[in-house]
Amino acid sequence: MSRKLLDLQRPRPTGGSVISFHAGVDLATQHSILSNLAGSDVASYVPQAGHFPDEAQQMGALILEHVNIGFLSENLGLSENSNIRSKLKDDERVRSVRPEFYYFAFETFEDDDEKTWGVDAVGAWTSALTGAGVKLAVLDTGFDLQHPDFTGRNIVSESFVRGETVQDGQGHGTHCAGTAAGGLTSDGSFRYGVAPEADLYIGKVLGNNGTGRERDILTGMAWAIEQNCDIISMSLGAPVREGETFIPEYEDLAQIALQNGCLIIAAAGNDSARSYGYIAPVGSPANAPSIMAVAALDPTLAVADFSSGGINSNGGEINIAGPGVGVFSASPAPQLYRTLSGTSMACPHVAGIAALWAETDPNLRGQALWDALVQNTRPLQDAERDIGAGLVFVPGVADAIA
Amino acid sequence: MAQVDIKVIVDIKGGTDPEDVSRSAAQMGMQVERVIPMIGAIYGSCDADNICKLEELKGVLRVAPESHVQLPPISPKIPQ
Repeated sequence: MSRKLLDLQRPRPTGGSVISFHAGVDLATQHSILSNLAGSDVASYVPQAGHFPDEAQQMGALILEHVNIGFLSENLGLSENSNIRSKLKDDERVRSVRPEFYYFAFETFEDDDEKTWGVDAVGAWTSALTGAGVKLAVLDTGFDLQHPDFTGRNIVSESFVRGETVQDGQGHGTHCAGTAAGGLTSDGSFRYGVAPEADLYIGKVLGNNGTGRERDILTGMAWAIEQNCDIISMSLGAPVREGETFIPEYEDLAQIALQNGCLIIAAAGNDSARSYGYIAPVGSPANAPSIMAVAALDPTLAVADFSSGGINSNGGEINIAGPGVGVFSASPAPQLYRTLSGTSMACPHVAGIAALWAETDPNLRGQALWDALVQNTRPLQDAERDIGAGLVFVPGVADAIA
Repeated sequence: MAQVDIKVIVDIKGGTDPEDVSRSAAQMGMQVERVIPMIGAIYGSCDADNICKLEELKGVLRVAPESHVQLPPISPKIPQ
């Protein structure tokens, strides 16, 4: 993140201070401490619903009874607040003292009547880019070739699964392709796809039972490279252990892809249980160093509870993040649509945005496209271990901010 | 003897032709299903006892089990 963006997002002080007293320091003593330093205008209140009474605004200091917390007013001035904080730091009755900061509600996205929250969060909704002329491959369980939202689209497809056609008998592939390269619902009223005019290449590498063999996945990858695809989206993977390294064949093929101007993007995996303190390593093949690993974000743009993290090194890092909780997209007929969660849903958001970037410049391919994506993310609160460079974002906006 | 799914990785940078190794492996009992020349990988199955013999073929870098992936049941309640 640039220094300027970091500065712009620095927490804003109110000018006041927050004091936390040790338990056992009674209310009268708290009054005494603050009145000695801030003057006689000290009042205390019992915490309750609603705001402080109007007269509280005139006080030099306030105390919240029963919770051992006091506030110095910003009306005392920055310098006086700083002086008082310095004195309170050495008072053994005070547990902590610090400047007070403004807090803001988290930004929360949600689907509305026109678009999914994911299309909105990555900036696709307000972008004029469509992915036109960019070849985007989705390697998954195939695709519902009769889906009404894709009528008239030029779709190249191939099945690498023994005895199965490209037709998606499971639903995962149709959902992922819908997010990456779908557009509007057939009645034109609702948008869920990121790159609606990308040339869609469907490689069926997972069977209708959701299982995939390494040989079929690698063959699908080689096929997409030979088809001169610019981007390959792979919402698939297997868990790995802490300390386990990548499978060399995936890395070999990913390097060949980059050398041929093709960027491979993969789901990081869903094996974490962050609410219980467990973060699982990025799975395979996303843990190959030359494959871009994608974490999932929820509508508050926080990392999803299940999203795997950068526990292992040498490719096991998270590179970028995308919307991956409550994602509405296409589903095979007769259902037509469904809402799913997972890094499988985050991955095609990144692939779709990659297509929009590739549309802007024919030189943005392979490693150059990788660099453009990670250098133009929207910075977020979570650690790099969990979200990599941040939320993938459309071209143009970062330049405008800078 | 149980058949295992394997991959035989050959030294294509050193000039080994995967198709040549594929033929030799088949003669040693490997059921070859797929050759991916781009990365010098031969996929198939063989008796577990045969793995050591395949590793001794000229130009073979290594023999390893084939990995698989499995999606969870498709459900809004299960991360995909």
